Amino acid sequence: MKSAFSTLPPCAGIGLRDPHHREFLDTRPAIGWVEVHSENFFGAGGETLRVLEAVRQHIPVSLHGVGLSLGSGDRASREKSRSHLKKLKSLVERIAPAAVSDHLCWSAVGGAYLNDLLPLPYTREALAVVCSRVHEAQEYLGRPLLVENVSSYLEFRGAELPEWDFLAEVARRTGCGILLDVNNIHVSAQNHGFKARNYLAAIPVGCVAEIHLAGHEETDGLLVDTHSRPVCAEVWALFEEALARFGPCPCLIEWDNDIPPLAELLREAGKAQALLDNREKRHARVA
Amino acid sequence: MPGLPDLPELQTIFRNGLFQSGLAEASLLTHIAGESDKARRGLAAYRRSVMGNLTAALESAYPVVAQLVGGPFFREAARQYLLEHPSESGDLNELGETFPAFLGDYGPARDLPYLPDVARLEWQVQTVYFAPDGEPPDLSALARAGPDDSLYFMPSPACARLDSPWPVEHIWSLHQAGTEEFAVDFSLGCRALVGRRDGRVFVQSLSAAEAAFFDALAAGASLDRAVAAAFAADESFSLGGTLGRFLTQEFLPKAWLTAVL
Repeated sequence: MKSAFSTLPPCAGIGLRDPHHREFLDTRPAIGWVEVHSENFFGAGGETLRVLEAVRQHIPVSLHGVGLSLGSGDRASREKSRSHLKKLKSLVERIAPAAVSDHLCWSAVGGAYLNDLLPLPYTREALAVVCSRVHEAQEYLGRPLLVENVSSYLEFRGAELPEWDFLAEVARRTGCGILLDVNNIHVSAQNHGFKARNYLAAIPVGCVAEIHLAGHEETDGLLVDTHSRPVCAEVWALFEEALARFGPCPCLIEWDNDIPPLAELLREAGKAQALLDNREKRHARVA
Repeated sequence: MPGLPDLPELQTIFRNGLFQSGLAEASLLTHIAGESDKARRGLAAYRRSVMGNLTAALESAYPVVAQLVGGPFFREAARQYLLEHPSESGDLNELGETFPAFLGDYGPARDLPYLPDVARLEWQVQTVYFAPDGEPPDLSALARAGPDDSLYFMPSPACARLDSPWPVEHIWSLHQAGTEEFAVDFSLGCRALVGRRDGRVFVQSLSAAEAAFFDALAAGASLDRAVAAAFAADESFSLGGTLGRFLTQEFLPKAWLTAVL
């Protein structure tokens, strides 16, 4: 089925990071697509942008942002977000990405940035702020945004709806796609004691445009989304459940700290691809 | 127990509680669900993550400063800096423009008077790295120049100049080479020129005449005026050598003519 949210192929991709740029260009490994952090290419010129343009000649690229701060509604932060959007738009025009995404979180208040994926209170007020910001971004970019669930280490009192309903409602109200990070679901489920399966069940099937996979670590009794390890067995299992529910879709291995050799990253993507292929076969048998 | 404040207020409380202990932290903890031990561990995880990200971004902009002062000193300076100068962009590559000036006023760095200029040079290196690509070199005007023409040169957008009473170019270069040996004559100042070629940033030291020549061209002076400025700085200035070097290193990728009327 053709997605309304992106033109990414329904196969495995990798997060392309700086230490692999040169090798990736030189060897052109067989991988269906790559994702990069948008902000790392906000510079007006230079080597990194040239690398991305060269990669884009061969395979689809997804621009994944960490800086839109979709959960900030105050005036100063909104103004800063507009200049952020402007830089994102000029990158989008330059790269013609297959998908553009950011996170269901906040990172700035009063115009001061914490540059992190911070947790939102799941209230109707926050829902209205996020929807208005997603609307604004989609209108400005002239294309749908994919919004990703984040890992969280605390929850606010006074929540009015669970995170999964909040996310589904953002998608319903704004028409954005969902970038479902199954590692983040697992991390938050462990930290807050909910069932990861219930999260999947609450997400509307037609909305999931991409799936993220990554590794995490445990610190101080909490799971922390470090993107520093291979994907763990529980997350692979959750990934299979997600594929069963949402069907084959573009899925990505993210690895940002203690980055392994490119070959190892590609092997990890190969595992995801094998599970996608299995799902296709099972699908074919049923049909 | 207080009700949940509105979103911007809650976010302000979060930010304050993240950066400060005591009352600010206590105020934030009242809004976090679950047992107090779990809330504290959750807050600690965000503290590590936020401070870790911001400090890592600052260190990636200022690797030589970080090497010169060592990890613990750098992290404490970064913490103080971030408290006083919140990040102003969702793009971490923009973090730290005011760090050199901060280091100039930072008491514990008093004994390293050259540190702010090393930092200034590193910020220029980062700025040049991300600077726009100039148009491809076009020096055809050189061949067409007649006796009645004034010749001008456009400096590349990907270059920068720094004059310092400290040998910051030498310090920077030694750190790039990763050499253990660190013999620097701190009595020598420098005139640094930062450029970019094939995507790689490099720094070189200019003589007084070369600096005067380059600065005059960059300020929009014609070639003959820039040459006069260079000779005023040093009579032994060699136009051929300097211009040739600047052209091949792509500091001056474009030349054009204006007829003198």
